[in-house]
Amino acid sequence: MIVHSKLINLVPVIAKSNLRHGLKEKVSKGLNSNINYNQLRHSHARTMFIRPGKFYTKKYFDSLHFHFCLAGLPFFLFIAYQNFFVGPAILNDIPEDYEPRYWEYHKNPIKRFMSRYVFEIPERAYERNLHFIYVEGCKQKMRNLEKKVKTMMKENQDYKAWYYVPVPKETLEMKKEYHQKYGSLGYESKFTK
Amino acid sequence: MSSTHDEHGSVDLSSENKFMNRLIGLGKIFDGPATFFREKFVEKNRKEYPYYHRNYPRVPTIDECAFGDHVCFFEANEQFLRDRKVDKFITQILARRAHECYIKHGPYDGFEKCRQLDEDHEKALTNYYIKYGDLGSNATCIDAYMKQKHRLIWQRRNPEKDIVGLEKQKEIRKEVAEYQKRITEDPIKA
Repeated sequence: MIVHSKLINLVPVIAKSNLRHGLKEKVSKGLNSNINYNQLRHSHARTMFIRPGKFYTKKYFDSLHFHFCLAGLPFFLFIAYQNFFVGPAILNDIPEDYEPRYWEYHKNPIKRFMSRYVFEIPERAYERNLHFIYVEGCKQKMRNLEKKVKTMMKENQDYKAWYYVPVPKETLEMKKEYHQKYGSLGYESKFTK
Repeated sequence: MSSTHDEHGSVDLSSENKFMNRLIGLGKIFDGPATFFREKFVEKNRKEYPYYHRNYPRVPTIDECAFGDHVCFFEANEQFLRDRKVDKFITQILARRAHECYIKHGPYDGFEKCRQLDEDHEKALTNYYIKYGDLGSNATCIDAYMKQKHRLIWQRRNPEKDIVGLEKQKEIRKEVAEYQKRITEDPIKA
């Protein structure tokens, strides 16, 4: 009969006994309650509280807050100020003896501001475009005229302008001498004439 | 349903229908706090300032422009495009009026009571087609001018023919109205 038995042999006994309350941590519940139990050592009371992760939620709210503070809130305040204190313009008939300025044709105050200080005056741009159209039209007419004159000269060959090249007679004499000396090709030809 | 959209910014929310009135009253529950807030806090801090619609002065049309005057042509073309837009909107407004009349009276009574509005709409559409039709979106005033010239030449060469056919349409409509009356009075006989 072995009197001294190792304590390890008592584990299953203790596990299944009523003393396991407070000693053991239940791992499995319900139908699997006869499976192994973890042994507690009571070294500290602080345990890791297992819960879902917070990284993605925190990151999402952080970026949301960032973009809201950078862009959302300033634009919201600006637009709120514009709508509370300034407001859109009201349509009126043009009174006599008054020509409205070029920004007064817009309803939105931001559009009025941009039209007044940023973009160019539409009347000025219109007149400038008309000027360019006129200039190009003039150029077109001159070109057409020149073309017509050139063709007529070409056909009639009666004017000393486009198709007439004046040449001094000395060059013609030099050419004759050269041809007499060297031939019309400029070198002696055995096979061609 | 008698909401008129012809006036700018004002909608007439009144009807003889009790159901419609109650629905409109339901809508006013949401309207109340908004109008209260606006009248107390917003309207007082704002200053009214006007804006206007551009008034384009009339410019000589293409038939008054000299050949080779590109500036005159440019301005006439701009005027032509503006007039085309305006005429398009006119046809749309007339279509809207006729449609609202039909909604109010129903498709059967509307055939009699909305006849004038229908005719106005048809006339506007035919005139628009005569002037601007089949030219395309990149049309110029010269295209419309030439179309008019060819149309007048054709009318000169074919004086008897009626290309528009408005009178014929009227006759057809009269016949259909008479047929409808006959059907309602005595379905078995007619």
